[in-house]
Amino acid sequence: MKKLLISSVLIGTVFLSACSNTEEEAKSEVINTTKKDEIETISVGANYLEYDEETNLFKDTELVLIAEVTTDFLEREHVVEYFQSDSAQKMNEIEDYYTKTPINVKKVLKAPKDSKIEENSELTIIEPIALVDDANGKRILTTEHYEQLEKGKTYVLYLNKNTYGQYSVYNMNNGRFDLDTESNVQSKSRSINTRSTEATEHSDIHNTMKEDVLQKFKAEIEEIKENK
Amino acid sequence: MRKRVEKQTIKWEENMKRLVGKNIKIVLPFILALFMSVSFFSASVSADYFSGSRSNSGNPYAYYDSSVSKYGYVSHYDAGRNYWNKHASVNIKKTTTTSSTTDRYYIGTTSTSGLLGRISPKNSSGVEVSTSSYWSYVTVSMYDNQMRAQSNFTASYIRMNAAHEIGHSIKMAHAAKAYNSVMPQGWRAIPSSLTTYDSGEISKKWGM
Repeated sequence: MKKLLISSVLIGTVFLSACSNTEEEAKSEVINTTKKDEIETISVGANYLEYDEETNLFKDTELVLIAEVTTDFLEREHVVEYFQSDSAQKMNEIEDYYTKTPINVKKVLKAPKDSKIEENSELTIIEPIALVDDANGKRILTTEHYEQLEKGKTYVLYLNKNTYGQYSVYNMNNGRFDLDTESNVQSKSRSINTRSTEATEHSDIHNTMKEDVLQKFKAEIEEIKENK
Repeated sequence: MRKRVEKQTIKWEENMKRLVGKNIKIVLPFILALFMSVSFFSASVSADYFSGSRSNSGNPYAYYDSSVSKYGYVSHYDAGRNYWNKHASVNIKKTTTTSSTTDRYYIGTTSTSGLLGRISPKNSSGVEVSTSSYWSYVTVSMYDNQMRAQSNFTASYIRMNAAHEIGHSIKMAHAAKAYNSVMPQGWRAIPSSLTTYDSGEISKKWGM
């Protein structure tokens, strides 16, 4: 009887600890908060044209640049568009959101033949993230864990024109590669809004693609760094 | 054959007795419980669906915003719902009224190149929540301008996109590209019927 009691206690302990681990996993998925501004960042799921190899991405991208970001995230133009039907307006249903991010072009790695984009010129690009401040509160909305470009940092950017003629970051986080830090872009957003294995897969893909980018444009990147 | 199994079991017990002494009857259930816990919980974490529940579980109501008919996507969203409705645990019903637990389907445009569709899980006040939270309702959007910009702008491809976003609305997450599923990212044709993989993920999330 005593042995049975001890066995039951042990089994219960094991299951409770396993349950508490799962609970912790769920807690870690709670929305990330930006330390600097204490504004919630919420990442929503999306379907987009996803590339996991640099060669295919390069082939399908119109414009590839090395560029420096010149404006802080909160100082950029944040655009939020709402659906217009009566029922949508009642709930402030968002159709689209993005920022217009000014960058300084350091090197053009690929461009259409008729492109007028030159080195050391300014260009404004679209990022799939925005600060939203409406009746539902102030929060940052992002798509598929996209992380905004940071002021003062230099990136290799893969851009495609949208249907309005503006250049937009292509392939979410795997279309922007930070040249100033070795840390992985996905590491910050790993804790939010996804199944655990997906974040790891994306992180691995980003690392591999970044290695390919660094290797492919090694000479151009070194030239930029020397002139910085 | 049975004798050989019995022999092996006895031998294993003897080895274990030697290893843990007289407390084998106490330790054995502990090891079994540990094994069961590890396998059960590791499976639930790596599955291709989001944790947490949502209103009406796998049987939410879907309200089509006027933008859906305006852009001509009613039959495509219907096909996306019907894809998942082939599973016994899913019944996404179309409705003409809205409430705080009614999913809302839209067609719009986006400035993000390559973005085909997006969902926003909401609480009852209409504020976006994380994928692991309880969802009161979900807004499902597809982007007309981006879909039209793709080659193969056909019903089958649009319906795959619809099924993908509607899959998110019932807590399905992205699947790896290797799987025969509508949940990996991208622009391609919808499978002719609910795939074994998608059916399996629904069963894991919402039961049989």
